Amino acid sequence: MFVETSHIAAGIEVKGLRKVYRSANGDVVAIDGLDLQVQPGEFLCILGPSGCGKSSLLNILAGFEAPTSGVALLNGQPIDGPSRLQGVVFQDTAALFPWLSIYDNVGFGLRNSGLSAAERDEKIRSALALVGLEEFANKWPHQLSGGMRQLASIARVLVTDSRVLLMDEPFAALDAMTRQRMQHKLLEIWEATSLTVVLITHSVDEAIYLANRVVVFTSRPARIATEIRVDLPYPRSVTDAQFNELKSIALSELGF
Amino acid sequence: MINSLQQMQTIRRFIPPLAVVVLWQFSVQRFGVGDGFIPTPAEVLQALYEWIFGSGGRYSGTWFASLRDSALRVAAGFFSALLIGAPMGIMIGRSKLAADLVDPILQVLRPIPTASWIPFCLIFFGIGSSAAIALVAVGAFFPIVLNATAGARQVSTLHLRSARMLDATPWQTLRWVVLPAALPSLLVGARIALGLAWMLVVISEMVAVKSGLGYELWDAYYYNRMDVVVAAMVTVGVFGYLSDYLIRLIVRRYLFWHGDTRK
Repeated sequence: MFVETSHIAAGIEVKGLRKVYRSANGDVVAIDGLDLQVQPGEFLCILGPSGCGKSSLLNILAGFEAPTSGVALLNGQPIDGPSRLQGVVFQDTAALFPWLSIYDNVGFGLRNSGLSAAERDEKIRSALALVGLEEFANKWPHQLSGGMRQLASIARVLVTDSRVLLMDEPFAALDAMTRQRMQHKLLEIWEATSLTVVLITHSVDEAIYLANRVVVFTSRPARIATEIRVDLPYPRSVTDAQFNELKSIALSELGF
Repeated sequence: MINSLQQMQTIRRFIPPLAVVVLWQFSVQRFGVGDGFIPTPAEVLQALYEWIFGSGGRYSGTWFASLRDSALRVAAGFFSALLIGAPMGIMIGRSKLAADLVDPILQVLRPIPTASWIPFCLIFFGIGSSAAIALVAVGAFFPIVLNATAGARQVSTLHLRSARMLDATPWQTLRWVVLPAALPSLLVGARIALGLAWMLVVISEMVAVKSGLGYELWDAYYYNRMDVVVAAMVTVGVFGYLSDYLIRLIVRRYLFWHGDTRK
């Protein structure tokens, strides 16, 4: 078995995944026979049109929803519910607990860690430092900008030694400038922690700017239309010729 | 400039009540409005002074004891209602089973006017403080339980999922997620309940208890001491306002994070 240290990255494996939502107007097939592997430490972006089943996949990986059939494995173990192993950053910037300070929000996941107060404090401070929010420890979520709240949301899952960071359009609610700063910051955090990241987006630029590999989904039911390996060195430039080549491949897959 | 504008706005708020008092004094004194049954504000003040500072006897020096009796009944009834209603409401709001079992009963009992429980309060508790406390508790219970239910139902899926993903135990989720999320609504219920509590303590003291502001008010009516009646009304009004202010202070202290309250 492996030795437990901070932020050991974990791999994800999805086999024959199918998700059907029952509704009064008939069944809706969100995902149909999806196979996907994410290597430990990989940064994977899932790109697809709105309502294509991307979020269903993320909810299954997070353990919030169960697949109708097929399996989703984290480090070889079936995902049977939410846990600290897979941290989720939601699209909604209101996901922090508004009644807790940023410090207490980040420390929430350490409540049953068995760590002493001093050890918890150290972990919280270092998670806040990693996302650059040390000075905001004693603020409340409503006093922070949307971008800072998303960084705090990252910190609250980093603090629990999550191995996988699942992000559901985390920057979609932010303005363009903030969004770019956040993407840059996210890459810094990823490099510092060597986490496995699965990020869902409908921005082609964002996907190619961030990912090792971009998986393009078809519209519902979600299947893989194509995979794009992005071997460009970080930090990437969105005006780069190779960047735009990959971008046009992705765009044509999406039907533009 | 801003300061003087604020001062002006503060002063402005005192003008209408003052005008009402002046008009009241004038119309009763000069034009005999009320055929002698309406006391003037000056008479009420005098009655109140006698009631508070008098040397004892009917409506003399008994104000503190009456206020204490009523306030204690309000507090006892209100806190009993809070102690039962808040946890029950949160359970109904969070558990489908609890909702299915308890909610129908509440919905049937809710439209019954609280005052109609007086006979049962008397039968079970006899003439005395307990009957008044029971009536206050019954009345205060409903706004508390209903608002606690609504609050617990409003807990965001996002926050519940966050708690699960951070491995919170059910107890931690209740204490640190459900309770704070339900608190704004719960405190709205508490405010309504406290207002009802003052109303019900007066009603119950009129019929079921031989002490308190409500008792003295009703007694004064029989003795045609309308000045004391109004003095009792004023007392209840002032202390009802003060207890409401207390809850508003609690809201300001604990709900600073809540957008709607902050505005």
